Amino acid sequence: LINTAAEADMPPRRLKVLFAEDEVLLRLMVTDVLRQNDFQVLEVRDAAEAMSILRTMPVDVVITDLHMQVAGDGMEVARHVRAHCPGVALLLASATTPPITEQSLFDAFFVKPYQPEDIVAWIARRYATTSRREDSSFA
Amino acid sequence: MNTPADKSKPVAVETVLLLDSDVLIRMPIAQYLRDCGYRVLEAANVNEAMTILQKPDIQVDVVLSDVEMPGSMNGFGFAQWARSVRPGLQIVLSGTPQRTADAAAELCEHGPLLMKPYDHKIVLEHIKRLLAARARQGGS
Repeated sequence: LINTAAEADMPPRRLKVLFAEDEVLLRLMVTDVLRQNDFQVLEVRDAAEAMSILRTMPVDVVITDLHMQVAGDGMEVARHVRAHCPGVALLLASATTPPITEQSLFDAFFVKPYQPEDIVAWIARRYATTSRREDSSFA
Repeated sequence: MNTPADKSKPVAVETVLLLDSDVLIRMPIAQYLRDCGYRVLEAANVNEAMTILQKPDIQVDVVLSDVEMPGSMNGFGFAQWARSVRPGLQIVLSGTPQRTADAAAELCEHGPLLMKPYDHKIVLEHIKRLLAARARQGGS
């Protein structure tokens, strides 16, 4: 994709990252690192909260655990993203892998205990060559 | 000689623990508090808030909590427990999104940057729009 001259003069918009994880201390640690790297982070504890966010506002990246309040509910998030959020990067951050038939839904997989910096690096690489959508959302 | 850094106020980063079980209220309020300079820890239920407060190495200066919380302990019960483990903790309870936004605005008036990033009524309007959008889609 080619940036226009006007876009080149604009400061880059902060990427909006939705992070779904039910373990609060892990969520805190990962969101700290993401925010330190200047992402706008929306944090949720389960699939229901993730769906509330995804149905009401656009995001650029979704990072989800596989098992949160319900075993496998991260797959619900993944299927929603693939069905309704075109262009969104979808990352799995979990201790276990999904069924082999579902793995192709994800752009990347980070195995617990992963380093949040590795996720930051992946997103940076992904968006280094991709232009960003215009930000029309809140704050 | 003044540098830009000299002109800025010295800022002690204060931490708010925000407890609200509705993500569409919690998220905009958390964003607002971050925009006015607070570090914000988000808890979606009492158990998460208790997990955070039980970690002595996690700094928390203020708790902003909804009164109505799912589970056996409401905001009042949680406040009582929180004061028992962290005496001197400032705790603000609110019962509606309006009061939560007002309380957040109050924190921003006395907070680390001593300024509101934008009118808190914008936050409230945003919350209302989000809740209406969710209701239209039949979400919970």
